[in-house]
Amino acid sequence: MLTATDELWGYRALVQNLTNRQLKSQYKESLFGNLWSMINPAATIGVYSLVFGVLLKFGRNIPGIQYGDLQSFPLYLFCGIIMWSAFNRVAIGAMGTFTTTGSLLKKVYFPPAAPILAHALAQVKQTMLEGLIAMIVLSALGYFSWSFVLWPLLIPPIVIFSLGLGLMLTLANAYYKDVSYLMNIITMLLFYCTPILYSLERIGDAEIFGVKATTLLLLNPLTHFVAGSREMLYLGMAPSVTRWVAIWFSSFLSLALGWVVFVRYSKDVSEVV
Amino acid sequence: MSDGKMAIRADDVSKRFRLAHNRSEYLKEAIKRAERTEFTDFWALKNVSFEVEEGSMFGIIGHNGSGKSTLLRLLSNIYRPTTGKISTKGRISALLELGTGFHPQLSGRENIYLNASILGIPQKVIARRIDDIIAFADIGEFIDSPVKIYSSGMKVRLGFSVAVHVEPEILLLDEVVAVGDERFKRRCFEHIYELRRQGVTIVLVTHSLGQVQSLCDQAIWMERGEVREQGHAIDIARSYLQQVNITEAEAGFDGDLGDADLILEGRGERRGTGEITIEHVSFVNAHKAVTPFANSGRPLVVRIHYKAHQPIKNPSFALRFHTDSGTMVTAPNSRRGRINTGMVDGEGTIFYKIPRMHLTPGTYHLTAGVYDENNLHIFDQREREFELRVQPGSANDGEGYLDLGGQWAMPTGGSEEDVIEQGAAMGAERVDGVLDDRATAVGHDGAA
Repeated sequence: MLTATDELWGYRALVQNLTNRQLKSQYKESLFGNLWSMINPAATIGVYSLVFGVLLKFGRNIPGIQYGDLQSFPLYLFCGIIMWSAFNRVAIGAMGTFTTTGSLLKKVYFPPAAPILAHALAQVKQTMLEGLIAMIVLSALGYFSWSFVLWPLLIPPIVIFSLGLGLMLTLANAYYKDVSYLMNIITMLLFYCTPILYSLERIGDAEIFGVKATTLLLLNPLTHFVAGSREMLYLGMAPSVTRWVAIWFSSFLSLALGWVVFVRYSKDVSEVV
Repeated sequence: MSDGKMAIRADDVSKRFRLAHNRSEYLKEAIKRAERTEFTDFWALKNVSFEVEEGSMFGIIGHNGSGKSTLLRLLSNIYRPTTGKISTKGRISALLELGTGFHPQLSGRENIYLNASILGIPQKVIARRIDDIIAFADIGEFIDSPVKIYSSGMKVRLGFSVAVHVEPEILLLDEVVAVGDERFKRRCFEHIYELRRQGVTIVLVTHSLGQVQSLCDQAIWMERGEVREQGHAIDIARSYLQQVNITEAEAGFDGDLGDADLILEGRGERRGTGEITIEHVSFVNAHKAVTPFANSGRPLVVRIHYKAHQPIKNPSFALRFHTDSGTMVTAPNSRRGRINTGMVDGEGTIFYKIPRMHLTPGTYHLTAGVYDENNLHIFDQREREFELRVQPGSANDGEGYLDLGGQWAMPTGGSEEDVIEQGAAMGAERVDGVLDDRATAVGHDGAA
C-alpha cells in the first residue's frame, strides 16, 4: 500500500503533465477556446432561468427557503448542481480515462492510478470556474456574502470523495464493461436521491419503508456537498460543523477504500485494458 | 554466471494468460463462468531464467510468438510474472513502440515533457535534456506545432529521441530501431553505441541476426515461451540460423532471415563517421598477381586498404559477399574471426585469406567495412562497391553460388564403411596455404 503510494508520488510529474494535457487539449481548436468553460455554466444558468423562471414560473416560493428577496430557483439549482457536476465529471468521467490512456499501459509502465488522478485534478479548474460564475451572478444581483470565501474549501473534499469512487469504478469497468452501463442507471437514481432539484426541507416527514426519508438523504454524502455549496453561495451562511465533518469523513472514507481496492486489484490491469 | 554486476536477473519466470475468448468482459458470463470454473490457460513464458550484466548488450531472438515481447513487457514492469521473480537495477527506459503517448493536439515540445514523464523521468532531467532531445529529433521549427501535423517519420524521431535521452540505466528496445529512414537509423545506432559506451545496459529484441551478432554480447533464443539456448550472441545467432535453415529445408518455406531487407537497399552507399576509412579493396590470386578475377577452387587473398585518421584501438573489419541479385552469401569479420587488430593509425592493409574459392563462377559484389571493436559503431562502410568476378577454375560445380568442394565416391572394391571413413578423415586434411608467407593477419605496411 505504502509502496504504491510512494510510487505514485514518484510519478507526480506524469500526473501533472497528464492534467496539463487534459486542460490544454480540452478546448483546443475551438474558436472560443477556454471561454467555453465559462460559456457552458453561464448557459446552464440561462437555460434554467428560461425553463424554471420564465416558462414554469418556478421562481417565487422555494418551500422552506428564505433569503431576502432572492427567490430564484434557477440560481438555487445552479449553486447546488455545481457539486453534482464535479462528482459526475470526476467519478463517472474517470471510467473513460482507461479508454484513452489504457493502450499506453500496454506499452510502457506507469502507475495506472496516475491518469485517474490527473483526470480528477483537471476537473478542479472547471468546478472553481463554475463557483466563480455563481458568485459573480449573485454579486451582480446584489447578494454578495462573505461566506463566498469559504466555498473553495468544498473543492478538495468533493474531488477526494469522487476520486475514491472513481478509482473503484474505473478498475471495475476495465474488467467488466457492464459497469459503465450500470452506472448510467445508478447515476440517474443518485441524482434524484440527492436534494438538487428540491430542498431537503421540502421532503418533510415522508417515510420510505418506515424510515424517515430525510434521514436516508442525510446518509448520502452528496447531500452534504450540495447543501453545503448552496448554503455558502445561495444562502450566504457557513455550513454547520456537523456538515463539514460529514463532508470530510465521507471523503476520506471513499478515498481510503478506493485506494486500497485499487492497489489490490490493479496489478494486472495492463492485461485487460 | 559471471562475476560482473547484474543489471537484470530473471529467476525462473513464467507468465500465464487467460485466453481472451474465455475471459468475459461481461458480468453475466463471469457469474456463469464461476460455476464452471474452467479456464484455458496459455503459458506465454515458462521457467525463463537469465542474467544481464551491467553495461552489456543483450539480445533476445526467436520466432514470432515465441514470447520475446512478453518477456520485454515483464522486464519493463508492464506485466507481472505469474511465478518467478525479475529484479532490475537502475532506471528503465523502454521503447516498445515509438510515439507512445503523443497527444496529437499538443505541440512537440509539450509532448516531450508528457512522454518523458510517462517514462517516469523527473522534470529536472527533462529540462536539462530538452535541447538535446529536440536537436536529435531534428524536427526544426515544427517543435512548437501540434504533433498531429507531423509526418510519421517525425513522430518516430521524436519518440526515439525522448527514450534515449532520458538518461536510462537500462534501455529496452523492441525492434524499433528498424524503423525510419537510413540516415535516422544510422543515428539511432550511433546513439545506442554512445549509450553503451556510457555503461547503459541494453536489451534488444530483434529478428535481425545481423544486429544480434554485431551488437550483442550475450543473447537468448526463445522458443514457445521457453529458453531454447543462451550464451554468446555470435553462437546463439549461429545456432538459430542453423535451426531456421533446417526448418526451412523441411517445410520448403521461403522465410525471412532477417538480413534480407538490408541487402536489397543501398548499393554503393557509403556510411560511417570516418575515423578510419576503407580506401580500396584488391584481390591477389594464386599467382601472386593483383586481379579483379578469382578462380573457382583456387586460393584468393582479399586486401582491404584502410586509412586511420586517428589512432583507433582494435577496430573490426568486415566483408560481405553478395550475389548479383543482392543475396548475401557470406559475411566474415575480423571480430568474429577472433583477430586482435591492435592499435591502428595511418594507412595499412588487412588481409582475408581464402584457401579455396568456394564461390561458383559469376559476378559478386563486396561490401567492406570497418567498425569499432564491438561492431557497434560504423567508422566506414562501403556497400557493395567492389566487384569480384569468379571464373571457372578447378571446381566443376557451375550451378548455385557455392561449391562445397565435396568429392563423389562409389564403394568400389572396399566396403561402405571405408568410404565413410575416408570422408570423415577429410576434415583433418591440411589445406595448403599458398600465400601463407605473405598474408599476415594484419599488415601495417604504411602504418607509422
